[in-house]
Amino acid sequence: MSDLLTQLGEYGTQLDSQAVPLDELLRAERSSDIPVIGVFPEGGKKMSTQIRPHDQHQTRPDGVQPLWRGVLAFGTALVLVLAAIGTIWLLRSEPEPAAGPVAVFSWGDDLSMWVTEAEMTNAFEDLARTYAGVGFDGEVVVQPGEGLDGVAWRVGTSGDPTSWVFAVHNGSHMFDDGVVSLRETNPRLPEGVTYGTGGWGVYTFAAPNTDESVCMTVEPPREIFGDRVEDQVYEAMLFDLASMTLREMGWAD
Amino acid sequence: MWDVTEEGFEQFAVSAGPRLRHAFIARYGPDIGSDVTADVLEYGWMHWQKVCKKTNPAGWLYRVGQSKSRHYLRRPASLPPVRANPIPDMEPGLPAQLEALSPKQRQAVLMVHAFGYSVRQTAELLGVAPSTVQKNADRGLAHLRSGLGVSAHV
Repeated sequence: MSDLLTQLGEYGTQLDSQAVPLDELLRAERSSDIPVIGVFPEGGKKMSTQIRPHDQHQTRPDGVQPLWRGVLAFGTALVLVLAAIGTIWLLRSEPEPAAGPVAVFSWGDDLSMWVTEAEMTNAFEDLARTYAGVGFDGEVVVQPGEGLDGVAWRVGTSGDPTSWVFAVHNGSHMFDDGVVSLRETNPRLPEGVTYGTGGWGVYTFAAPNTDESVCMTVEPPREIFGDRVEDQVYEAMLFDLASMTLREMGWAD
Repeated sequence: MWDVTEEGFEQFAVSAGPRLRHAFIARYGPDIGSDVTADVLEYGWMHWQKVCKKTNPAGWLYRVGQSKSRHYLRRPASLPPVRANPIPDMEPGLPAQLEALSPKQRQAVLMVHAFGYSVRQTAELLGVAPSTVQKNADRGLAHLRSGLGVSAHV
């Protein structure tokens, strides 16, 4: 048998040839008879997505749209207007959420590669109970993190983004979309949190009322969840971090 | 720092595009990997004024790609079978063994040993420490050797 590294090199070549070539992905398609979708900074240039000929609207040779298309468009518009009116009515009838302390625990989709959603929910609900155990009587929300990579949680007063304390996964993941959006919700998030030393176990806390972030290194598990042998270490780390965020907020000694 | 102009993006795409494409192929397989690469290049083009100012725009786009990949069907990476062998006795079970690796191990093994990037180049793109890439590549190779029943010194 050939050496494994040689086989990998050959297989890499095969993989490369079976994927769409880069120049095809990059090609600016400026064909005038195939409309493009998407909005680009400078008119009409696109990368990869196109409406194929069979997707194009069929128009009579004289350029007039068939009558049924007009009826369909009017009906669709009417339904949309009614739906919008209904939504506004429902929203107006709901009471305003109370502005009180809230803790939100989230985890990224990437963790689903190692643990099930039920396991993650259980872990974070345990964390939430830790908050309750030290007298936190606010709302606790456990939910998947939209666009997050890793884990994150935040504690603060709902309705006041500047009150949030964030506990975010290590700096190497900081520029994930989700964390960027966290930053956007809290403009006072110190610049320091965008950089971390990387690697599991290094978490950054951003305290909104200070100019400095607080970094804490905990016992670094090897590859958390990798071999499913470090769960207890990870669990202990979560509780440590929970305690720290509570102290930051003055909710625990 | 890349030029903010259209030419600047094209230079960046030619320079960093192959790495991004290989990283996504290694992570998601050639089909979804190609789609994600197209998505991030489109994102890079549309947000070039912001992206070009990043210290590591390729790493930024890699993270964008990780988020974009969630829009695709949740299914494990699918690697194509080995084609007619230009080298003798190529192991037909190699794709299956690669699929069985953890995503990070598979990505490290393919980036370093199949696509020929250095550990440092791979780490910079993925936003992790070089030691992490090295560790994942070593562990992945060990799993492959174990699964295929080959030793480190064939």
